[in-house]
Amino acid sequence: MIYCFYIPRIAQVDLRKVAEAFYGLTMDLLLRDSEALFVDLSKSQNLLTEIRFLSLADEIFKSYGMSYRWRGAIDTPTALALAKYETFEKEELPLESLVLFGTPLRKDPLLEKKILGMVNVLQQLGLRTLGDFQELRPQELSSRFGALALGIYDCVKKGFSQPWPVYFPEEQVTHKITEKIDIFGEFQIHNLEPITFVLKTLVDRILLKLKLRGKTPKIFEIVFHQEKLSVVRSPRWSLRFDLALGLISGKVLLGQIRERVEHELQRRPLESLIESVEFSVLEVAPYQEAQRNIFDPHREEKAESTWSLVNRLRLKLGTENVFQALLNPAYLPEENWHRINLGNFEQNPSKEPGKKEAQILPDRPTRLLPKPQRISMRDQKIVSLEKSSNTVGNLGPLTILKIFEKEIILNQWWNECSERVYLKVQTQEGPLLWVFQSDQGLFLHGYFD
Amino acid sequence: MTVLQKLRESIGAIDGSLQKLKIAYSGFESGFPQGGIVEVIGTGKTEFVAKFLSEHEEEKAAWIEAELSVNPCALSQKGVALGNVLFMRAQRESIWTVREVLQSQVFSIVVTSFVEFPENDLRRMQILAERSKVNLFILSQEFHHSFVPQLQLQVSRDQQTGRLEWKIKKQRGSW
Repeated sequence: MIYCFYIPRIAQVDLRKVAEAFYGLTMDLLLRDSEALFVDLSKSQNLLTEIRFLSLADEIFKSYGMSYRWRGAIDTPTALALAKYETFEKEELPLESLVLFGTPLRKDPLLEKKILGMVNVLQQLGLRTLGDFQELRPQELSSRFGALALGIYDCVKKGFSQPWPVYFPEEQVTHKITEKIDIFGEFQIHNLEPITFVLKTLVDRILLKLKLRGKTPKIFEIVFHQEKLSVVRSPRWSLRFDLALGLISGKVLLGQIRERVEHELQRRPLESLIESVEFSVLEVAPYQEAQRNIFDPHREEKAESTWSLVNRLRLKLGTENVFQALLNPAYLPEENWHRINLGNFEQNPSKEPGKKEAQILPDRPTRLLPKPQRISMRDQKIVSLEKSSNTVGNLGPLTILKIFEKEIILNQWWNECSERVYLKVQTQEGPLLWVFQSDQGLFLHGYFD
Repeated sequence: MTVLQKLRESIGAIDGSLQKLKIAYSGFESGFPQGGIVEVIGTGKTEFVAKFLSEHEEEKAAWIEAELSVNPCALSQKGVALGNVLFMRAQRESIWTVREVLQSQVFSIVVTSFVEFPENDLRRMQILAERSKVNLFILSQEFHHSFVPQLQLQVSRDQQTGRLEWKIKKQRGSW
């Protein structure tokens, strides 16, 4: 029997801490992001009765101040769906629960969007519950919705049998130094040296501890506990760091921490004396310092310089404005790629995902407008119909020389099926444009620069 | 060619300071000077630079624009290794971003498109690019009236064949 404890609202407490509490009862645990905790008692049923287990679970959640809903079922997605929608019968579950049958172990926004598209179509056909869905024939589903629908159908009918990934409680390394630090001058912060001095001790201690275990910090948090005065609104001042790339040296890390703390203190100043400084490593990554790379001894220095540069750029430009691009196998040109946080700069270029698919596609323009621009083609001229622009690069109306290379692109069925007929338009002024005709009109989407 | 331009090039030739290493490129026989600024205008400039990146796919490149409109799918089709390209949407901080990237020596190729670079900033970039041996490509709508870029190219597309053609507007120094 699998028990699902569903958390209806985002809790203040990290669900991982609750999972650690359950680890004492059984090792068969699964966390679904911060939304649900699954416990499999099938191997522990001689140790705990159901009533005893549920009362212990209730005590654990109460001690963390979390409200929850629970249900038991023979498989993971059924238990999750029953807990989320507060029903006792699988057949009464609403059709939206198919999302949970498609992504039971973890959330996947892309897949969820596709499944919701399928759900919308099924609802338009008059289906309402999971019971109605189970009465469909698999042949009907596969012809309309493909392999995804068949997979979900199997999961609903026959149950979900994929084993859970092994759960390990996350190691959290925390060091705290209790030392009163006064960084205030007469009326403003005058010197951050005392903070840096204390942080250096903490950073060195923690990095050494982790290195000896072959780990390096990936996500960590620095907390300044301030003196609790009546005028202090929030005595806990914290700053979280997420290292996109692996980091080795404490010197570089300390420099980056100092820069970020300085920047952040200007935005959120401290309100009273610091009583203690805490450094907690929330997530670690493996790191082996067994032997330096003798063929490229500068590799670590390069990695540090790269990380240092990326961090400065993110601080100034914003995290979302510094990124790498990864190709998507999607139909629409604007969905052919998406942004990712820094990947490994050492990737083998030939193994880039989506590269082969991109080569099969017809030529794509090197420049895509952020939003297709409405235009009109009349008397051999292309004119923009939007007030704010004059087609390409302020060139004003362009004269058409020839139109060629028609390409029809259909939108994905879960995104309101529509058709775009793309054409290349060679203009007398020089630019080669990429326009499309849809049921909403004629648009300029990009140009070959 | 103006008298001033001839004079500048003669000075460069005498002190030999402009004798630089070249970076080969099939689309431009003379190759590009290593550690210099190349300004490219015209239809097809992005494709021109993308093909250069594809021929040096092992080099790390930074692509900096105020408002990013480049299409990574098209770059991949031209053979660019996206795993080695970092994109930056700099908005109003383009000059600061280019300077930081040049100073860091992390990238060997930097591509930027900017409407108007002040002369002083261009000079600073030239010095940083030379010091770090970084190739800086500036994609412009029209040429900067400045002696700083070592090479200014006008690219156009043949309307019959679709091939890219280039014309040298200015070349400074020997390399």
